[in-house]
Amino acid sequence: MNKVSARQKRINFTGWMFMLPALVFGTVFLIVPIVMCFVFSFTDFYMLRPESTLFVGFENYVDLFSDAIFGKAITNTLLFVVVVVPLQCLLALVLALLVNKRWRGCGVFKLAYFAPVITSMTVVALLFQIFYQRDGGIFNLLLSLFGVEAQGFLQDEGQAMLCICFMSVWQGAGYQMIIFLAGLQGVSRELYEAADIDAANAWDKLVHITLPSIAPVTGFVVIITLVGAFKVFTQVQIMTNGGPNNSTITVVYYIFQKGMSEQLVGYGSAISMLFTLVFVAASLLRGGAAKGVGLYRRYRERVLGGY
Amino acid sequence: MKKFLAVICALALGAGCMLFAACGGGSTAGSGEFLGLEEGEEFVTDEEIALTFTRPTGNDAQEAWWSETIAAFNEKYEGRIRVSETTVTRGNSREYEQRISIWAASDSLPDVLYVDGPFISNYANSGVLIPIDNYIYEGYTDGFLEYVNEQNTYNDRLYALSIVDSTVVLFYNKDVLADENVTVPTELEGAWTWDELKTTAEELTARVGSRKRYGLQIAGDAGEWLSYVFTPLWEEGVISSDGLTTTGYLNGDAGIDAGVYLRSLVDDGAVYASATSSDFSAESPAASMALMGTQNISEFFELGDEMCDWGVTFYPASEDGSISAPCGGWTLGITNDCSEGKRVAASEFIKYLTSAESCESCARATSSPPSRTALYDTMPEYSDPSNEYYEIFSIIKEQIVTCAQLRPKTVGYEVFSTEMSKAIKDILTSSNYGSRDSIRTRLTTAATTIDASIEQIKIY
Repeated sequence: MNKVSARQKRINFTGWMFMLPALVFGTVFLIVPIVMCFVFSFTDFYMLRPESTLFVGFENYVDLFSDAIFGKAITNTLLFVVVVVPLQCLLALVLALLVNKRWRGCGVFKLAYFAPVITSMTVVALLFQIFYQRDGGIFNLLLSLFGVEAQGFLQDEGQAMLCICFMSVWQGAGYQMIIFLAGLQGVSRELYEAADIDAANAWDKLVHITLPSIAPVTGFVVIITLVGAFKVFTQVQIMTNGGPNNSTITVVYYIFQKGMSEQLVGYGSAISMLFTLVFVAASLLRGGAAKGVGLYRRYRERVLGGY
Repeated sequence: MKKFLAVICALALGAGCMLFAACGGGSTAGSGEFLGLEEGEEFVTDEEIALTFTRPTGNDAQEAWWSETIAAFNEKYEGRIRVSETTVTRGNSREYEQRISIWAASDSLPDVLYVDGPFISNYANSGVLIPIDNYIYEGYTDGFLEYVNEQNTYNDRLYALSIVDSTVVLFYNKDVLADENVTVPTELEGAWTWDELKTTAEELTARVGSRKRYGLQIAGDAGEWLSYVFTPLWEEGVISSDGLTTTGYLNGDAGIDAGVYLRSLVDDGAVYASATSSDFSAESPAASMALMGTQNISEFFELGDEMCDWGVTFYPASEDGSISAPCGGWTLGITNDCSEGKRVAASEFIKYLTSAESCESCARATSSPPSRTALYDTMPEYSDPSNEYYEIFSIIKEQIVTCAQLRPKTVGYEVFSTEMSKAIKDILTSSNYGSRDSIRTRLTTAATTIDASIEQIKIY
């Protein structure tokens, strides 16, 4: 058995001390709530009468599969993710490419694009609620200039979710833009100079130098946008309360509605756990995919010599 | 690491189990067992009892009345009972009720709670409130409006007492109606029917300068208000008599007729459905009439000269001329977390707040209708035709005394009122509800959601 020296013990102790705050906070605010949520999801915990809580097995999970609103919440959340993630990332990339040029007044644009991010989502949502109004809303005023009749926007089941998506893309793109910008500024100038010598045009440089060089940053941006999109809540709460007719209800909003508004903690916990499982599964898939790509790259390097 | 995770999981499981085990307050006395003070009996105690009291934050007039009244109570009971109050903002998303739920789950409810009347059923069923008939002497409730006592009763036990009440009336702008030669009903028998209200509202809708002035505004959030205002339109009721089923009621034929009527108000341009209360009170009003609650009256008084010259008339009648006016207000109850040693003191506090003097002072200060019947015959604004406010309050009195309709009594009032309001809001504002079939579908969705949620609440 190896004897641990006094010096090693001191180093270990110091390491644990550095980890302690993260361990304590992570345990209290992350692990304990998740485990409690897991336990509650198998109960009929009703917040107004917790002492009468009974274990109900998988009843909450079974009920979820016949819950039409939960189905709608999943569909709406997926729609939000599918629309917002690519649009927001693409817009952020375009903005980053634009402000990456060194020209006069560039800072003003950087600030303008980033301003919505530092504005509270509540404020932005309230503003857009006014913009989307049928009577006197700015978007309907603009449409009227082109002879288009007033739209329902947030009051139309077919348009409401897309309106929330549009607002979210506008509000959040500035944040991703800053990350892309940091990535772009890390791309070696020499690569562009070499491309210039080879008479490459702007498109070639973008496709063959810029995008491959910022691929890790792009991956990171996609992941954080994806996670944020799945958690969409504030916009829905402020702008539509899930309406009209649940056309904008999302999974997180439904968890809040069931768990807090209706005090059905057991049922709300079951939705949360299912949602968490989907996240974990998605993460594992992403991890698996990344591993697959790594293996393929190694295979190519070995077989084709890197070409 | 595995050991560490196992320990954390065990701790979390333990915490969850402890939460369940720790919950549960004192015992509840059986019906008929009297533990309070008889009429005229003085409250005595060896040491001062500290009571906690929580209520939602009110408007300026309400806040001033509460501060003054609680200070007066603490002075009267100095050395015996001391009440400390906390206020919580209610907001449009039921933050107050959510706070009560969290307190209930963590055994930290205040001793005395001020709650909205329709929540009594749920709080009584869940044991958040205890019956107070063990502490209130026989005959004390005789002086209260019958329907107010009914609101405060669940399974034949009294759970709360009210200070003042509320109802919905039709406010109108006197100048606009005079200019348009519209005369409002002053007698209950001549109250406008819903169709007459619509016709009048259409007549009053006009373009004034650059903006449109609507005939009628329906202000309010989707949280509860719309269900409160329009429940009587569902002439066959909105929920079964046991308060557990809305399918067949909310989306029954009468319900769909109500929905179609509401939609026609918008389609025919009579209603400004996105209005706020200030749209009625503004100098150049966006609406000539408004269906609003009596709680708005004190705010209108506070506005003084900035407010238009306004009056009130009766809530609309059904086609046969009968009126069922929405009524019911906030009420005081003792919580399960109030220890048994404090419950007599808590009941004394509630009796003080609901005494004839307190009811009168609150009714006057907040311009709300009192919960005690006798006050309608003694308060000048309700009984003396020479009083400057008689024109307003006599109509409120007649409506409250003769045609009050309580909000539905159901353990699922939270989800019922929210879902019904959302459905009404969608019918009024969404572009997807132009046909009878689409209205039926929307009301059916609401009814299904409400019924499913009520089924998830355990009935004790």
